[in-house]
Amino acid sequence: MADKPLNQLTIVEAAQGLRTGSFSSVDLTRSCLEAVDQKDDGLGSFLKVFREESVAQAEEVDRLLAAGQDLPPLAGIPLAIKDSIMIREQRCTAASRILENHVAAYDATVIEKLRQQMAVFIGKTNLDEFSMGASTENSAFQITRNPHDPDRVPGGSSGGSAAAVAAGQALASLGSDTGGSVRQPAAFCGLVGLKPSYGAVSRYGLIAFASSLDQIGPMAKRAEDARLVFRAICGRDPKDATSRERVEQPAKKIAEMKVGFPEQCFERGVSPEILSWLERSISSLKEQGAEVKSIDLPSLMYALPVYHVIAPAEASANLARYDGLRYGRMEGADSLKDIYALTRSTGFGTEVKRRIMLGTYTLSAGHYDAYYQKAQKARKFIQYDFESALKEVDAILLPTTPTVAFRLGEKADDPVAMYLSDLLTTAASLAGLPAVSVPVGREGVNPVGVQLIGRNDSEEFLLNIGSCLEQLGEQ
Amino acid sequence: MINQREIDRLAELAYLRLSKAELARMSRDETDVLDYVDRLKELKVDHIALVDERRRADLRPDRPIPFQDKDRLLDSFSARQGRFLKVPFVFGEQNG
Repeated sequence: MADKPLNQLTIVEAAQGLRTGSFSSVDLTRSCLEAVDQKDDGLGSFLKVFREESVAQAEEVDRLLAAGQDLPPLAGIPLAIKDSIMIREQRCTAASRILENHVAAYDATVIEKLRQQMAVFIGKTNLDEFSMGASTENSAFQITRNPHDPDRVPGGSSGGSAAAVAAGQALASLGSDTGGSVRQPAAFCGLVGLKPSYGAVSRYGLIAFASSLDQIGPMAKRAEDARLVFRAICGRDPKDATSRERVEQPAKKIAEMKVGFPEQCFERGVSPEILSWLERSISSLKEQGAEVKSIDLPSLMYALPVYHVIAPAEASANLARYDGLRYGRMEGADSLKDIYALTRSTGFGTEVKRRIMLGTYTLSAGHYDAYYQKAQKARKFIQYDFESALKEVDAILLPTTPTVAFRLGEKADDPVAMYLSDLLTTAASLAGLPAVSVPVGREGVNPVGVQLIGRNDSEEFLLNIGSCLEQLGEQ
Repeated sequence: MINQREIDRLAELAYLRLSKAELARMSRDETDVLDYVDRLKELKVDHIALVDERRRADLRPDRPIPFQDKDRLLDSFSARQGRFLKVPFVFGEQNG
């Protein structure tokens, strides 16, 4: 720890340093702000930086630490927040022109919880507009680059949150994951990214994309850091009827664990380099004493088409609220119909329009049964398939992404190619199960992640396995 | 293939006004996505029943929770008159 710049510390290391007085929270926060100043013109991680507010929050933590108070684990830790999560009195844009000037009227529940922890908010991070994308190229304001290779994407939709942590601009961050938007950018940027079980974390104050799938999750350098952030934000919230208290499944030693890897991963669409890292991860777990075996998970390769019916359908309904009247920008016109159409046509970007129209199509009379109802039944099939597999094994191990981070612009004109980046992440979302991406190595400079999917409320269990695997990435 | 007439109708339903170039691109892209989604046809799931598994006890009571800072919410309105949202006439023009 002694040789590391402060902004490169893990949360665990920083929390220890703050308590032993090795440095202050203001030092830590300024170290992150310096990284923002030095790198963000090129990277584009942030849409808004809270320079003065973050230092003021850090000063308050330092004052309490100096007074000998026992503070929560995240006190004084600089975090970055995806700009689809509301922070009161700050702009919240979802990276969309339609919300360009929207100021949040309240804190999201996760922000309230992080305030109770006395975490420091460095700023709001870039994303694909309304979280729709896999590269953070769909933001209305700027693109974000991958800190490991600036010619490549950081992933998406929480690409700004991933780039910020990978570049040392924050110690950890919050993203949201609908079909892989925390795990895929975590994999591309060499981080741990956790998508909690559906309902484990309140969605109150998260700008909705697809409500049956959206979950807020942490991105961090290490599994232990992700655990601390997750513990801080989880729990039932009366303001989100889908949230609930968790009952974590009992811990097991690695030697007692059974881990399955789906045969289907080897069938199509996953690059040989990524598969070789999966094999190395399997070997590592076996060496550590876990029983690892091949399992049959036939639903896995149907998850992406199911997702691309259900998510756009829910998005088309959720985004109907952007009418230019109650919030967001309004394009002037004489009639209500013109206001709606002009506001939405100029306020939404191409990918958002594409998904709204696709959702409108699959929900419309004549297509509903063939697409939406079929997809809902297929979603059930996926849920049953995973439930059955997770009776046989404690966790499922698979790649997070089919390839390493791709080049900027490489998939911008081919929506299906872009969607395929989420080939292996949508299944856990549709099943409502927790999943974590863990960095296990690099191909050249490009990080590679593997994913662990577990039973409901097995986040800590998965992070334990993640801790065993992240050692592989350090060898 | 989603034809031009269907794309026009979808845009109208979604309150989106798209240029000819946008409509053409949308038609091509949506067709590509639906072609991909069509692989679901090979999946036999007719036997699966769709039932709502939530228990009533899991849901919160259906009672309004007053929001503390209403003025701040009202400030988000694009136009307002007092506490009311101001919008153009819903049914045609004002005729005295």
